[in-house]
Amino acid sequence: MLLVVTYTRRARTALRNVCRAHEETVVRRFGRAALFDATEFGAFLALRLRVEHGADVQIERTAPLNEFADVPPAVREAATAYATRERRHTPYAKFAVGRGHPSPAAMRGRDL
Amino acid sequence: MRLHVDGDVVEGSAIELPTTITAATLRRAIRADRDDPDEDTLRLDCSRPGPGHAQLWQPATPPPRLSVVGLLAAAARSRGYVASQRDELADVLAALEAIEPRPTDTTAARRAVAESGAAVERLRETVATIRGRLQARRTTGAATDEATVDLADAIGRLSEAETERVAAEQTLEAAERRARANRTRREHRLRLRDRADNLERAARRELAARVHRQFVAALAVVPGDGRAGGDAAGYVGDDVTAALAAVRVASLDAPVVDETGRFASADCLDVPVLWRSFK
Repeated sequence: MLLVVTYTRRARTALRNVCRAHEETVVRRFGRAALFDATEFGAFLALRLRVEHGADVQIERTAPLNEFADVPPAVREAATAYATRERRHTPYAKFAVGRGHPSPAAMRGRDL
Repeated sequence: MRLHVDGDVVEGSAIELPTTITAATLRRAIRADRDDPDEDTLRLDCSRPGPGHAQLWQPATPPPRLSVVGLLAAAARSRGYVASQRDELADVLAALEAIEPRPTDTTAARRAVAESGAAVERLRETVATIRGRLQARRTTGAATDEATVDLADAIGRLSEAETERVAAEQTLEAAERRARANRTRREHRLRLRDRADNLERAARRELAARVHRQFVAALAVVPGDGRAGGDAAGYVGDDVTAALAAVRVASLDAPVVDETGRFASADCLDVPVLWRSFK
């Protein structure tokens, strides 16, 4: 999908108008942001906005995260283990040390 | 006030206007803009317009996007009322001035990445093609010198293209980082603008509420059908009646222009009036 985010009132209003006029291409609306279908028409709508409003419109391309293909097993295991922990008040950094999971700092330093 | 027009001088607090004078000319005359070429035909000696005058001076044609709340807020300001939001609004506006998101355009960087990527793909194919040619020549025992040279050449160009692509990607990454920082500034600015709008709206509501009682009384006195509700937003009736009542509530020293045609005499507005017949 294409994520369109606006940064001024005029761009935000323009996005709102586009969403209203082309509901079939809009997957979700979030106020000053929206998700469009990643079709040529979706790209057309997004690029029109960027031509009109320049850097006040941000366009990103999203993809569903397939954690099995894109995320190392250690990170997946850490996420599962922490979400299902017994002691709810343990911060992750401490939790990780005790159990050999990757530290937040280490994970921040590595791109997917 | 005193009106000089076409060589005549008329004095009074309610003066009839020749129909040939435009609203724009009147506004300039009231504001006493001296650089006006029409000065020869019309000059007005009157008090300078104070706060609220700009919104209230033409009750026959109230500003189209100004609601009853806006009209009453203008009237309140003319009486010297100040909204409690004023200081905070001033702070927000000052903070807005201080933000300067720099212009960012990553288009050139994106295009460079796309073009260098396409070049790499083309050269990969070229290398593969030449390799195939070289292989075919080897198996048939044909001369391979030329193909060998071609291959080395193509591999060299491919390597250069790959280096260029890496450089283009790094340039794009750096540009994206700057763009993200600028977006943060833009977002901050948007939040401040929304905050300023909300404060202005709240200020107008507060000011209007402070003169609402006087508005109700004024509606009973000015010509027209209008009924006040519990607050300014609850008004039911036409814009012109509301505007006339707002003029009566206000404390204006500079004249208003009455083209409503509703008055025999506009004394009830309690303000100097320049009037002309409703067309």
